[in-house]
Amino acid sequence: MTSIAYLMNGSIPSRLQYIAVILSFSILLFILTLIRQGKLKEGYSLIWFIIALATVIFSVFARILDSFANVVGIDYAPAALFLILVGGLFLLAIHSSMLFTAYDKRIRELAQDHAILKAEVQAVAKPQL
Amino acid sequence: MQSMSVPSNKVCVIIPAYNESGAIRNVVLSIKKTYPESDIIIINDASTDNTGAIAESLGIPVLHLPINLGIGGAMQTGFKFAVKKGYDIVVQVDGDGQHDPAYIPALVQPIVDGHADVVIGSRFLHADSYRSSFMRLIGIRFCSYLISLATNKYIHDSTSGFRAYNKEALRFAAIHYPPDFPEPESIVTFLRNEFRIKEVPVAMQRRQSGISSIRPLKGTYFVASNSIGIIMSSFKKKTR
Repeated sequence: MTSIAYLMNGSIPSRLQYIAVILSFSILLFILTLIRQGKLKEGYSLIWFIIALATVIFSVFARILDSFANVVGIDYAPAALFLILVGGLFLLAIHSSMLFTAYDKRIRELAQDHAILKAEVQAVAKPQL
Repeated sequence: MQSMSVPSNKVCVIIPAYNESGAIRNVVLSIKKTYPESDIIIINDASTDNTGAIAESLGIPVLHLPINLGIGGAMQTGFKFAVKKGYDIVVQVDGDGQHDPAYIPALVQPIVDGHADVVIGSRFLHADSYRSSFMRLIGIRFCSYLISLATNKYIHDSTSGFRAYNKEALRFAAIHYPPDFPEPESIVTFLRNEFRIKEVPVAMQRRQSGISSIRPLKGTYFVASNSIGIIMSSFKKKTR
């Protein structure tokens, strides 16, 4: 119990920690709700889920955040939270672009097949072509 | 489909058209006149004018794309169709009338002779040299230079869309044709996959009507996109 309390007590100002904990839990809940309601497909929400979970862990266990900040050389530990968040959003943006690219290809193939099939149907209907 | 008069090689001329209502009829009629042994198909790339209706009235197959895919996606539609119908040679002629069908036999000949897999009609090899804006020339030269860096082969007219493909290149393009600005990038893709490219001199006319897919303001974007395409495709894995 004391070790958990120790982990939770980092250098981050306590008021800021409360806000961070509330916000990160809200985000996690919100994402879970969206997945449950089927508004976010599980596969696509994985990165969102990881970001939210990481934010929760780092804001609740502030000591871990301190260690992370120390390792990467950030003096002010809460700034490390931003680094983690920005990193997560960056991954998310790349992942989104990958999805768009995949959809772009699927839509293109669909449109091409549509055009070819339509012409073939028309050729059957109008045999003089 | 019309029946073929040439027994050895089934040739299909593919005309990609986006809002070419002013030119498309003449393009088709002049191909029918100068190269009657070929079949012709039009790819109507979701034109917003009456290109589709005019194309339908010409008595040849028209593939109507439900959404605008751009020149690469439109050509690929034609490649897929040609593969499906068993054509041996495909010739690409732009729907705007700048490609003179009189040169189609010259494009097809190296393929018939087995000297090339892809033949590109080049404006810059022709005695009656193509007059173009300085900026456009710079853009084309730059693309050609990048291609030569990537492949060790200098293609003079890297943006020319006046091309002929043999069956192997056609099958390959039906799967691997670049979607956005395909002409320069596809050269790299073809060369990297060990297709033989040959350039033959052609004269090109100014556009009969419509708007070029390369507008002056978009020139920089065009060159930048092409450059990225050329550079990236030179890193892509061989797929053949």
